[in-house]
Amino acid sequence: MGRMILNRLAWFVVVMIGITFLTNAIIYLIPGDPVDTLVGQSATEEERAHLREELGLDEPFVVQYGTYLNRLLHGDLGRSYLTRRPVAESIAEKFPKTMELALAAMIVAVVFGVSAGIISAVFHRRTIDTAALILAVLGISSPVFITGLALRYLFADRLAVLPAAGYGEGAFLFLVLPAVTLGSRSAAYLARITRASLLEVFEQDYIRTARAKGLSQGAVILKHAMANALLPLITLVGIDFANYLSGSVITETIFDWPGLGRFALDAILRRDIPSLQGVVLVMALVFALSNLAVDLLYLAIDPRLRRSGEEGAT
Amino acid sequence: MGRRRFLLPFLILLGAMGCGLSGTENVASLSSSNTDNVVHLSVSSDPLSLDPAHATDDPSGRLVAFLYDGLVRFEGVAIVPCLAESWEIDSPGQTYTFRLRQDVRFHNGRRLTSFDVIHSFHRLLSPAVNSPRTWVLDRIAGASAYKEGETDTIRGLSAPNDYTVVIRLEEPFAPFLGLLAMPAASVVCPEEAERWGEDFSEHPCGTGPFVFSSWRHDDRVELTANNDYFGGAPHIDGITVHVTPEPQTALVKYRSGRLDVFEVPETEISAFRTEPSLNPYLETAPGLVTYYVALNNQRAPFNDPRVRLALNLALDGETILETVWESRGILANGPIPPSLPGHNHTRPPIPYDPERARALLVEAGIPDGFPITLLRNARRSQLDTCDCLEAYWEEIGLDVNVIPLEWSAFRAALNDGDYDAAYLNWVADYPDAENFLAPLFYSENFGSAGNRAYYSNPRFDRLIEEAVRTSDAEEWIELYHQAEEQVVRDVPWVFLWYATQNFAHSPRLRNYQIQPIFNAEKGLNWIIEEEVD
Repeated sequence: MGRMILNRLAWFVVVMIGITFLTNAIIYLIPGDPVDTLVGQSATEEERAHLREELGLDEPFVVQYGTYLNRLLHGDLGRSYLTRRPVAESIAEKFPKTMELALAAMIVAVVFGVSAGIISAVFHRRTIDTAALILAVLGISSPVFITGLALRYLFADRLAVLPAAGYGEGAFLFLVLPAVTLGSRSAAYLARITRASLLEVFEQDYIRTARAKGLSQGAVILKHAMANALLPLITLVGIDFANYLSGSVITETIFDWPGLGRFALDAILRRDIPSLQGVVLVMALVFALSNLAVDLLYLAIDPRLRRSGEEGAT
Repeated sequence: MGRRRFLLPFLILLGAMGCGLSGTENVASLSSSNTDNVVHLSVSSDPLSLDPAHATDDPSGRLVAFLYDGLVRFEGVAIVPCLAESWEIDSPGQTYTFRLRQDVRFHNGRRLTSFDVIHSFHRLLSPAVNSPRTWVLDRIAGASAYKEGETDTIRGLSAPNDYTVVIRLEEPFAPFLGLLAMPAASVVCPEEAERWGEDFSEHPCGTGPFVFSSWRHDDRVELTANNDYFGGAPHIDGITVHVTPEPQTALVKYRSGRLDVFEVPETEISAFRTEPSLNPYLETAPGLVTYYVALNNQRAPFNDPRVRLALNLALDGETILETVWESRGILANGPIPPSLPGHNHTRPPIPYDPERARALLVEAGIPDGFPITLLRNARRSQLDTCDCLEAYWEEIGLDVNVIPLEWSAFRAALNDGDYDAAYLNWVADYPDAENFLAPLFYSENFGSAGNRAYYSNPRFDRLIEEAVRTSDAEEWIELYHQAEEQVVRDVPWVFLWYATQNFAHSPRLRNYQIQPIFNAEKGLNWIIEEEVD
């Protein structure tokens, strides 16, 4: 098991280095020049060249990447080209807001997804199961920007019960629409997975035994069936949590949520390279960490994996 | 039975969540209007910087005007005294002598002297500060050498005594005073700027009518009134600038009385024009923005003035303005907007005449039309306009290909210069006709410097060179007239329209007036009425 953890950790480091390289390479290759945002509507070639030189943009890619890695190793994410603020400061300010949204989305996904899944499984092939199926298919197949705009139109513009956008100094109501938007897709997935795993578990002998013992339906489901249906759910929730971060780019833009997602989009549009590098690094870190956490959690939950791990499987 | 019992907790949970969602207390707090003596403004993005050297965007520029002062400032499009109470310009127009007010104090209490002005200008041009706005002051003698780190001081800047600043230019430049009223030329408190270094933006200190109080990024900037302001204390207690990227959110805030000034977006303009509850508070004023299509004058067939004129004649600008633009503009008769001295009020715009357009193409030897690619920014707001351009041009037989590009890629493509035409606008840096002529048409400003049409006419160049050397106002207006006339005759662009600005103010805010240039508002006239029915 120890070797397996080490193995996972080694991959983690490789992935992080790969991410920094790819990010830098892509930024280097895409059209657009950070200097354009700085100079405004006009600047002579001379002025542009001068600024490029000051920012180190005239250096070859390898040198730029080397400088970046060196800075990174010293724990320095640099300063935004545009605002001159330390990138780390901006990220520290926005990260908690994105986490708040991601956590809320996860709660939405788990509460609605798992309960819908259980209800579907219990009322297998009944009207309520079909209704849940339709909802789930809708949820899975609607991209975030459709769900977001539709919810916003309905609840903010038509019914006017929820604010359309903004952070609202952290007021709960402002969180509702973005969280539901961000969580709806995984809620739909979770519902389907929960239903499928439960139906599979219901066929098992030990469930019949539990029922034969005279346990109530609720006890059978929560104590016996759910415990075994849990494994695929954890994977999904873990991976989805990371997806919330990338999904947050669109959700946060639709709802004016001042988190990392919008920060990333602004950085991309303005070609603010240090900000973009910083935010991609943090997102990658969360992505990799949550995958690592899922792997480790698996080991903790499922004794069979622990044994096979010692046999050398990864 | 069992199933039903199992369902119950879920139903309770869902019910509880439903109650949580429909709780109205927060929605109510959304709609409670402001009662403080503070003016609440809205900007569409978090200001980039409150350090004048890095305040390159519109929100930053507006805030810099509240926090700092320059030697002079804009009042409308005129230039009036600010930190300098008077000035003299020598006869070739090369040396400017400013006499400073002696009653100016920085927000930290220290009295302002000429040293601070000299220091601020050095700071802007300093290689260490790396400001993208050095061009504002680089006409000062010795500025370039200093900027490159070759000298320790700027030769053209001197302070003969505590309250006199002398600026000598490399060569005469008539619009120079306008440059001094730009945000970048604001005077900053040197000791504070030094103390905070790159973080000065978070701790701004100037002499302006409002003092920095706090900044929650992506949320709001709070300023309080400077009651010791040399121009008299503001009538309000402060200004809060809310960062509201989404126009719909701003609209909700405005309608619930939580914003005192609101920029009315395109989609809401007709509602504001017609609804009796909104209409009295809508203000409209001409802006200093010219929309145009730059035609690549170096490339066939756009090197033929007949073809360029045909492209102008083919457009029914009036109709596009009325429909797609919701009448938020005035048809352009040249590059210089109507609110600037130098605009020609008598010349009519190029008419809509597709017949003549077709005739001109025949005359130019291309009766069957030709392909034309039009670059545009990929923003939604530009789609409809460019669709119109495409349709009208196809009417006279052209094969139009509109290429939308995301902003940075658009800029990169423009800088490459490899295009037939590009849909663009030009926003005044400073309110002077020169700013709508020299950067855009002077032959040395090809490409990124502003002349995106690659237009070159020696006569125009000569007129501009002469105009900026002329200190007599009437004389230079005459020269600008001639220069603009030359441009209109050569039609390097498709002239479209001058955009208007549309703002709504709250019923409680008095003396609100739209400023032609964004940093002209100092908030000194604003008054909040206590009770509004």
